[in-house]
Order: sequence, then C-alpha cells, then structure tokens
Amino acid sequence: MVVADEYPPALAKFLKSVTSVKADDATEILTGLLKRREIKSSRNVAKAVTKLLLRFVSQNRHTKLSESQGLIKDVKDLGKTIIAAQPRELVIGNIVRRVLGIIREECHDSNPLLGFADLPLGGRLSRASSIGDESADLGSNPGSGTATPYSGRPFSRDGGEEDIDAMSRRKSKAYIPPNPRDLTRQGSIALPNPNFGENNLQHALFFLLRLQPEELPNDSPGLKPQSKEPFQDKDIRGDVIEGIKELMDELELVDEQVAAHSETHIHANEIVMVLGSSPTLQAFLMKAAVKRKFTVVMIEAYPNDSRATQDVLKAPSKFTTPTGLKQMGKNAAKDEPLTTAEMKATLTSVGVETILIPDSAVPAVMSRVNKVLMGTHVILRNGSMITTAGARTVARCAQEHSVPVVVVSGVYKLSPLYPFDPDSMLETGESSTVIGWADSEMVGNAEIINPTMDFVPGELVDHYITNVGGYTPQNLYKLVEEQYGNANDTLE
Amino acid sequence: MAAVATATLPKLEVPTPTDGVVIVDPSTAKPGVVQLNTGEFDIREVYLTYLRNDHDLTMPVAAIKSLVDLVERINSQTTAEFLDVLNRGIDALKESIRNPISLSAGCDLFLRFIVRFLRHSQSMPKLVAHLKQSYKLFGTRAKDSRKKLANIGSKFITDGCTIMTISYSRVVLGMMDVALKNHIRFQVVVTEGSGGKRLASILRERGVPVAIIPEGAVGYAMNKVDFVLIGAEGVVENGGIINVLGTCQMATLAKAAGKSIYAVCETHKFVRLYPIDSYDLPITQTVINFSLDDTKEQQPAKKDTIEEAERIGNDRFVDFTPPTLLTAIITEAGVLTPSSVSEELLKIWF
Repeated sequence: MVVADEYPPALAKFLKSVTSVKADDATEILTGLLKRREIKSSRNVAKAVTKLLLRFVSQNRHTKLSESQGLIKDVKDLGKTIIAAQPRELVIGNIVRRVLGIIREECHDSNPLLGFADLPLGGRLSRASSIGDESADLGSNPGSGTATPYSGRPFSRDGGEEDIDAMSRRKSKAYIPPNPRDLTRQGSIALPNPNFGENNLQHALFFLLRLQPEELPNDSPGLKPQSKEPFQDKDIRGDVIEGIKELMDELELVDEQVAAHSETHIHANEIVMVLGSSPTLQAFLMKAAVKRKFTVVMIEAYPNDSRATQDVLKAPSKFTTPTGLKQMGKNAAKDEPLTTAEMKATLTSVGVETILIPDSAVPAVMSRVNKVLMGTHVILRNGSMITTAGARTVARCAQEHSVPVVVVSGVYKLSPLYPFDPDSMLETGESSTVIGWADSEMVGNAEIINPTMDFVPGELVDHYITNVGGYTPQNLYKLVEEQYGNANDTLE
Repeated sequence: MAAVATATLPKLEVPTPTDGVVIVDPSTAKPGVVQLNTGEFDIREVYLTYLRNDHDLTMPVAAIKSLVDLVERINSQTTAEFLDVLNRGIDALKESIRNPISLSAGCDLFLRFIVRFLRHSQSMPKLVAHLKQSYKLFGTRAKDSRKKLANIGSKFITDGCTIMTISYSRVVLGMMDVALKNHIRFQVVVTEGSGGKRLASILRERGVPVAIIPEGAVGYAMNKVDFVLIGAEGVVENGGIINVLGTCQMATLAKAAGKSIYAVCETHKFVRLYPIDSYDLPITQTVINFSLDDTKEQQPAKKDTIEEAERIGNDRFVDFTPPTLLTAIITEAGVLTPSSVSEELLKIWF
C-alpha cells in the first residue's frame, strides 16, 4: 500500500478552498470540519488553522501599525471561535498564540513602545496561569480597541522595570535591540522577544517595589530613543503575513528538524520500543537508520492506532511523500545522503530489525528494551502530555524498569496551558473499533469504552525532543516562554 | 498588650568577648536597635508594630516597610555609607527575631532592589523619593498578589474534592474563598496544631465541612483526600519550602500515597537560602531533646499561641520540605515546578 496522498481528503479540500473563499466562510468550513472531527491530528489541525489565519490576516481591514490593536483583537476573536469548535485540540490555541506573537513582534519592531500595548498592566505577571485567567482578562486595558498609539498610559507600562533590568540583561547578553527582525527570525523559530528581558517570575518578585509608570524618571534610558523618532504609521500586514508563512514552513520542516537529533538518541545495536505511527516518529527512525543498526519493537496500539501502525511497517513511510522527498533531498546536500530506494523503503528494508508486539506484551518485553520512543498529541507547560491511549501504561512500565522515555514532537504542539483538570482534556472514541456492531451478543452484555487519549504526567517522561532542541519536562517552561513570550492571551 | 508580647520573645544572646577587652558596641546592646548618626532606630519595634497593627501584613512586607522607615532616617550622601547602614539594619532585624527566615526574604528583596536601582544611575534622593511614594502601595500590592494567587490557585479546587492542609495559612484560605465564591463544594481535612483549629472554625462558618485530625492521623487520612494544599513561610533556592513543623511529614506521606502536593506562596516569600535538610536552616530549634529526666520533658511547639506568634515572632517550629516532594508551587506568577523556581531564583541573585 502506497500512501500517495499527504493529507486526508477533508484537509486537502480545505487547504485548496481556503484561498478562494472569504475568510469568514473559510472559518465556518473549518469549524464544521473540526466539530465533525474530519480534521484530527495535531499537525493537520495546525496546518488548517495557520492557513486560515493567513487568509484572515490578509483580508483583515486592519493593516497599519496604529490599527494593530484591532488586528490582535480580531485574531483573538477568531481564535476563540475555532477553539470553541474543538476545545480539546489545544494546538489551535498554540497556533493562534504564535500568530498573536508574530503581530506583536512586528509592532515591537516598528515601534518598541507600542508592541505590548494590548497587555494588561499585570499581563506578564499572570501569564503563566494561562487557562482562563479571568482576573487578567477583566483587567486587560479598558481602551485596547480605541486607544491611539500615543495616548500615553497603556504602553508605557512598567517602563521603569524594563529600563532597569532589561537593559542590563541586554548588555550582558550582547543583545542588540534595534532592528531585531534579523535576529529573532532564524529558521522561523521565534527567539525571545527583546521586550521579554524580564520573565514573569522576576517581574512578580520585584512587583512589590517597582516604579509606577507615571513616576518614571525623564532621563530613563528606556524612553529616550523613541521620543526623538517621529511616529511612522507603517503597514505591518506584509510582515505579519511573512511571519505566518514562516510558521507554515516550520510545520512542513518539523519532522526533518526533529529527525536531525536521531543520531544522538539512537545508538548502535539498541532495542527501541516505539509507540505510535506519527510521521515525526517515522522520520526520526528512518533518519537514525541511515547511520545506525538497531532494533525497533513496535507496539500494536490496538484498537485506535493498530491499522496505522501496521501501515507503517508494511508501506513506505509517510514522510516519503513528494514534499518529504524534496526536503530530504535538500537535506541530503549537506548531510549523509539518503537514496531514493532507502526513502521509499520500510524500516526492515533499511536494515532495522522490526518486531511487532501486542499491547499486552509491553511489560514482558520492557526489560529487554533500551529506550521507549513515542509521539504525542500535545505537550503541556508542566511537562505532562496528552497522547495516544496506552502511552501512560507504557511510560509507567518503562519507569518501573528504569528505561528512559523519549518523546519526539514539533514545538507547535507545546501548549502554554496548565492542566488543572487533565481528565477533562481526554477523549473517548467510538466503541465499535473495540467490538464491532456485528458482534451483537457482546454489545448487549457489556459496556464498551474506547478512550483515545491518555494523560501522561511529566514524571514519567525523561526527555522531549523538539525541532528547537531537547528539553526535560522540568525545563519546558523555558521553551514556553521562548515561544509565546509573556503575553497572557485568554482564548478558551 | 504589646509590651507583654515582646517580653515573651527570647532575648538575643550577645556573645561576650573572651580576649579580655570588653567591647561596648552600642549597636548590639539592645536587640534590633541600629545606631544612626541622627540617633537610635529600633527596627525590631517598628517591625513588630507593623505586624501588630495590620493582621493581613506578611512578614516580608513588614520587613520592607521597616527598612523604608530606616532608609528615610539615613542621612548620608555616599552610597557605601547608605548600604552599610542598611545592611546593619537588616542584620539587627534578623538577629532580633527568633525565626527570621520569612522576613529575610523581604530584606533580601529590598536590598536587591536598591542595588539594582542605584546601579542604573538613579540618584539616592530619587530612590528615597520613590520609596516614600510607593510606601503605601506595598501593602496593597502584596494583597493584590495574594488575590491574584487565589484566583490562579482556586482552579485546582474542583467540585466535590477533599483537600488536606496544615495549619492556618492566609493564602490557602484565600484560594478556598475564591472557590467558595465560585460555588464549588469541597471539604477540608486539617491537622489540629498550629492554627488548624482556627482555619477549621473560619471555614465551618462559611459552610465548608472540615475534619480536624491529630498530626498522627495524617497517614491514616491521606487516602481519603484528593490532594494536599499547603502554605509556605518561605520558598528556598532549591525549590523546597519552609513551613510549620509537620509539613515535611505530610508531604512525604502524600507522595507515598501518590497524591499531588501543591505549595502556595507569594513570590515575595522567596528566600535566599539553599538548605539541604531541616537541620540546615539558620535557626536553632529544640525539637529533639534527649533526656534521662522525666520532669524535664520538653514541650514541643507551643500550640495556639499561634495567632500572636505567627504575626510577630513566629514562635513556632518549622521544617524544610524538599522540592522532590512537591508537585508544583502556586504563585501569583503562575503555577511553577519547583525546579523552575529554583532556576529563576538563582538567576536573580547571581
């Protein structure tokens, strides 16, 4: 079986149609698709949402720097609509927040004072609380929609702390504040915005003592340069669109970037237990197979993922799609080349010994395994993750045997939200995948439940490999700060 | 009332010099008194007065307020002299209070702020003017933090849950208050000592079913609760917490039972300490006393003088709960893992 089509039909159709219809109509189509679960995996949802946001921003009436507040508000509203359609797809919120970050970054580049105007006074303070922080939301500045760029208060907030601390940090890190565009965009990975010099914890610490905005000394270094520059109301739309396109590229390149870490994680003659059939995982294994000889123990993942898992074993991996080929080809120039035959190949044909085991055999095999590899649906800020059902059992079993659990994922799956109630994020699928309706005798005599998701707490994961590097669950908060800055956007 | 309260507090022992020369150092003659060129300043008395007058004031904030009072009296034009007097004030305050851990958080924060302020070419008169101006804000800002913290933390309290807690903590009570306002029904298990009864009566008044258990029943009751919520007197640099005696034991039992342990604490209580265990704290506690004499049986922590003691001298025993036992630390800056607290704190001070 050859996986010819890269996208499921619903997504392919949406991606095709989105450029020809109005943004509002496209939103309606997407919410419908999400509600009916016709677009499901994190990656596909992320792609669809990014494409929609691209369309939305390019059609939005707010284009100027002075109208950025309106644009931010519109994007937030759009985000709320899509999230309401499928609240469990946390990746929607991630993408919307990333786009908000892009807009703010453009504002900041054009006018450093304006960039964070839409944040409430205590915005950075409460950001980490993320999930529905009503207090911050209520407190968010009253005139965000109407304020003219130089009306004074909202954007001069905390200038005192910014000039005292951020300046020193910039100096120490040799940070160059002007024209940070070239600096902050490296391969579409958002580096910390210069304005985020002080993180929210530090902000909170000195909150007690800090200066009031109105009592800022006139000669404070933070305010000086801007007051001399004349205000230019430039068009930011083009730059924002550029930023969103970079985000789309990131989604395309994610597998390859993650796979680049494979050699350091898979060693010769290792036995690696693998759960899941995600393309990221496949690319990771295929890349490792170029240099390493190892054994893969595939977990069947019955009932929801068993078909996909089997497909991975018998068919060419999904990452050898035309785009995948192209990317690998691009990569081949500077790295160890993969021949076309290798890319079309299954794991076995590239020399990886592959063993398929049923889920029930996981504990029995675990003692022989060197490492457990899995993909994920979404990663949460405290290091826990939501992933395929069965993952928690595998991770727990691995912990019992002191086998490291390594998770591969694109950074777009990292959510800044905190799981206050993890159970509410889990999903249950149709029970007919467990017992078919044809088996009427069973149907009448037992309740059949098919959970499709598992919550895996951070303690059970040893390492996350993302396209921006490896992180331990305890250190993910830093990555969250890098990706989303200190903005506290309540979208849920 | 005030006089009685201060009289019960232990006097600072002044080490007598052994080399024959009697040094009469006026600054150590009376605990908590700083000698200024404009006269004496009893920082201990000022600090205690603040705590007595405002029951909602936390110890670090009271310490900061007393230091501002001190700063206003410093009549010096050089930064070195200024910092010297300030440091002497901090030392005098720390030495005159039996358990200065919590207040030292405020002192460290204040000193750090001043150094940052002065380093960035802000002049001394500006500093004093700023401090005078924002003086009144400290209290309200601290209360704002607590409110914010309560809003964040209350999300952990879900309908129908049972919470175990220890002693009386304003932040924990604040969180429960927010949950109550949101019409969430929950019940509380609290240990009887160190103000636990006080918490129980307050919660019961508000319609929350509370079970008071003896300290020995923590392990017994653990399986009946959903999670453990504890206040903290201080969060230290390794991400562990310092809190009333019994916290470490409760956290250990919770960990063993697989329950989550959330510590709740405002960020101004982050202390610049790196203790390895409870015996590593910079205070002397007579918890363990070996004796052959029945009559000299040491009373453990004084119970229920806590209301007064907590506010002024915190005349109670504390222990250290290592970061490995904590699931998360809830602060007004969000829900943090102990390791992230640790890393950020180290970044600030070094």
